[in-house]
This record gives sequence, C-alpha cells and structure tokens, in this order.
Amino acid sequence: MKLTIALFLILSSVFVYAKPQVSIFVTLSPAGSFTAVSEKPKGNLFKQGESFTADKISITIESFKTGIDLRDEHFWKHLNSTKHDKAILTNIKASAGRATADLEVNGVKKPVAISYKVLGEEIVAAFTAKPSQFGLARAEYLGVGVEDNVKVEVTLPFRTK
Amino acid sequence: MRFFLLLIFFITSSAALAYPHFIGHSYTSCLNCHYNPAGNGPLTDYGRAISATLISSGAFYPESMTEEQIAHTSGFLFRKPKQNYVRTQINYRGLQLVRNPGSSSSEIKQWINMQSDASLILKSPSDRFLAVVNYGYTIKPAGSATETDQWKSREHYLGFRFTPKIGLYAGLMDKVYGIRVVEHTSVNRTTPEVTQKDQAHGVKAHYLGEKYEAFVHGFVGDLAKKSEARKKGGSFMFERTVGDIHRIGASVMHAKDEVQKLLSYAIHGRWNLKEGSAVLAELGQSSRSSEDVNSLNKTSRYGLLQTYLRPVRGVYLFTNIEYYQDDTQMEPYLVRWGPGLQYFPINRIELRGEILNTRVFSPDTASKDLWSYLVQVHVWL
Repeated sequence: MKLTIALFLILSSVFVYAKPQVSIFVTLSPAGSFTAVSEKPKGNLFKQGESFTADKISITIESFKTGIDLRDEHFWKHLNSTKHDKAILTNIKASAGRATADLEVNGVKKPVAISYKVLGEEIVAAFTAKPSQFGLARAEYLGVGVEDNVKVEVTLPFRTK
Repeated sequence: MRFFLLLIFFITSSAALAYPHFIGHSYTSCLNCHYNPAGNGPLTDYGRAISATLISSGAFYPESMTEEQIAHTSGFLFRKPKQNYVRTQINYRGLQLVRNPGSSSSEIKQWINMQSDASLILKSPSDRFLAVVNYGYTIKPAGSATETDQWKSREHYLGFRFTPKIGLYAGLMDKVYGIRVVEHTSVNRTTPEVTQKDQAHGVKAHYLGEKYEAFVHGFVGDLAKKSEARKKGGSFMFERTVGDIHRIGASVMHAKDEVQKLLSYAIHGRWNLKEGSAVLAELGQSSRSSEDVNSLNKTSRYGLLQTYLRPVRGVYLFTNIEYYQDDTQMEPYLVRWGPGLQYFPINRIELRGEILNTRVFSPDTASKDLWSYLVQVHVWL
C-alpha cells in the first residue's frame, strides 16, 4: 500500500502539465512589482510543420488576478474592462522561435514582436508592450505608480494539423 | 556569568514596527509603504491602504463593503485624508510575556507597554519633502540599571527626494544596517546595536535603482544622551534584486564612543515565496575593541533565519531561529527558536503569539532550556 501511494505521488509529480496561462509582469514605481495572472486564455493554436498559427487568442480582462483584491479592481478599471472586456491577439504567425501578431487592448490594436519556446505539447511565448501605446494613462494609486513597460508571457497548448 | 545575563536579555522578546517579510507580497523596498525608505516609522497613504486590503483579513467587513471603501477607511481616524500636507498616526503595542510558564518557582508574568507614541508628518503633496516627528513613551531596556522609562522623541527628521530614486534624510533615525526584523531583541539587532532604542542623529542618503538599493548613513549618536554615551560613526547597506522578486544584501557599520569601538558586518537575503510567504536570513559579526585594559575585546557572531507562511489573508505563520555566540574565542553559543502566529483580524489591529525556546550549548556547564511565550496586541489609528 505504501509503495502504491509513493508511486502515485512520484508519478503525479512527474506528469504535471502547465496550465494555459497569461502572466503580465508589472514593475511598480518607486519599487516593487506584481504579476497579473489569468488561466483562462481562449483560442486554438496549431502546428503546421515547423510553423504555428492561430486566428485569435483572447482573454477576459476581469479573469486576471494580481494578489490583492483592490489591485484587481484597479487593474480591470485601468484596462477599461467595462467597455473593452477582452485583450485579443490576432493574425499570429510564428516560426523558428519568432512570431508576429496584432495585440488589441482597450480597443487599440498594435503589432507586437514575440519570442517563443516549444516545451513538449505547448509553447511559452513572451513579448513586451507599452500601455501608453494602447491609450492607457499612467496608472498610479496613492503615490505608487506603474512603469510604462510590461512583459507578457503566454503559455498555450498546441495541436498538430 | 555575562553570557547568562545576555541570555536573560534575549528571552525578553518584543517587537517594533517593520515588516521586511512583506517581500512575500513582492514589495522589495520599504519605500512604497514607509516614509523612511529604510523601513520602520509612519506609513504612507499607500502603506495604510495596503495594510487594510492586503495585510488585514477581510473576514470581519460587511460583504457590501468594497475593497476601495476598506482602503478609504485606512486613513487616520477611519477617514480618507482631505488634504495632502499633514498626516498623523498613533500606535500602541503591549505584550504579555511569560517566562518559564508552568513553573511553580520561577514563572514570571509581565505586561510590557512597549510602544505608545504619536507621529506627525508634514509633507509636500508628492511626498518629495518630508518632516517627520515621532514622540512617545519608551520603556527602559530589560536589565538596564542606568536608563529609565521616559517620554522622548524616537524619531524626527527632514527628508527630501531629489528624484523618485534619490533621497536625503537628516535628523534622528534608526541606523541603517541588516534586515530590520520585527523583533527588536533578535540577535541581528542587539549584537550590532540597532534596536528600537539605538537611534542616532545623522544624515542618510538613499539610492533606489532598478536592480539595486543602497543606503549610506553617517551619525553622531543620540544628542539627547550624554556625550560619552553617543556612538559616532557610519553605516552602509546594499541590496540587489535577484530574479525580480528576491533580495540579497550586505551591511557594514563602524561606531565608537569614548570607551569602545564597534565594527559590524553582515550578509543577508530576503526570498519571496509568493502569496505573502517569505524567508529572511542574516549572518553577521560584531567586533568590540577598547584601549581600556579592563574592557574585553571580543567578536560576537550571530545568525537569523525566519520563515513566514501566509495560508490565508490576514494570517502569517512564522518560525524564528537565532544563533548567537558572544565571543568567537569561547565555545558557548546560544540557539533560540520557536513558532509564532501573526494575525491581522481587521485593519488597525495586529495580534501576535510566539513561543520561544532558548538553549545554551557549552562544553563546561549544563543548563536547562528556557521557555517563554508572549502574546502581543498592536493597535494603530
């Protein structure tokens, strides 16, 4: 019995797959940082040969959590979630670790350059974005502000066509 | 004998206002939440709002109350400030300390009013210019025959931030050195003499870079004390951000009065385990030297390891392990350890309970372990 439990624990720790996830790394001013995380990205990513394509990957702004309930409310409000409830990546083309896509936030669409790695049956992609380019004013709360440069990391499973 | 007197001092644990374990919430620097960038002292508006919405439990607020409304009640006397020039704060902290609990012959119970003070902060709207005064009732150090309980200013200084990254502060402040842990009787504060009663007049410069934070502090001792009791000198502390959310650092301090020189140096680390949990560690030495032939020259060594786990909002479970060797040329050393609970049931109230076991390791003598526990309440307005 003990052996079975031990075997189960070992196997369950080995066969853990990362969940689909979008993480936004935000630097605070004067100091500190926070990460807004959502595990609810939607969209299908396909592998064709060595390339990856996706028509659309979207995420609901109010699915992001920042570790503080009050900051969640500020984050959603700052991204204008009542008017534009989703952030959307479209026109995604990727090969050899590099990708291009259009990112739409707050109703403003801008091209972004993405780097990615393939890890098993999923890709981990990263890019940086300037909130000010998406019509977002500098966020500040009681003297603590947010730097105008955020790093975004997206983990998504893919299917082979 | 000297070693055992120190032992008595060490088991009298108490606390001050500083929470470096909040690096577990990704706050690497003290500057967001404290007017003093080295921590301790009055909270900024942001720090008060964070204490209400992140640190304190939300369980006792009505469900209809939003986090924004809770944040607004974090101001002085439960109000959102209507102007940006004056801030006030009042703090009370008291604790019940029980030594040798359960012993019919040696149990000692003692209520200690550790902190009763008020702060006044005059500032520019952007917090660029600051004038801070903290005045209150301070109790004499445990075992002190020369000091008495008294009303005094523990902190008063002027501060100016030339840029958000660079600031200069002048006045009576805590010396910059090591991790300013909550327990002011912990070995990393008593050994280099940076407890809540060791403030000094001086000038402190602060630099906050993208990956670095540094302090330089020159001081001339507490001018309210007699000149022979003032330790003059300087300290330097440096921290580097590692992996975006952790900090490692080093400190050095030199101070001397008319009879003794004190050189202290330490390395430390603060690790963010996320979701509010953190690990703090510091390892250091302090060397005391004197030209007086009757004084003992010695080097003391200390180590501190604290773990903080946050299972739910408002609750921190912690473990404290301390190592202290009074003289590195001698064999005896002391280990003090114990678990504790820090609970913020509602904003403005902190409850803290801690059990401590102190054991002396000596090749020449055998002594019983010393046990104590404390229950502490901290209220602020």
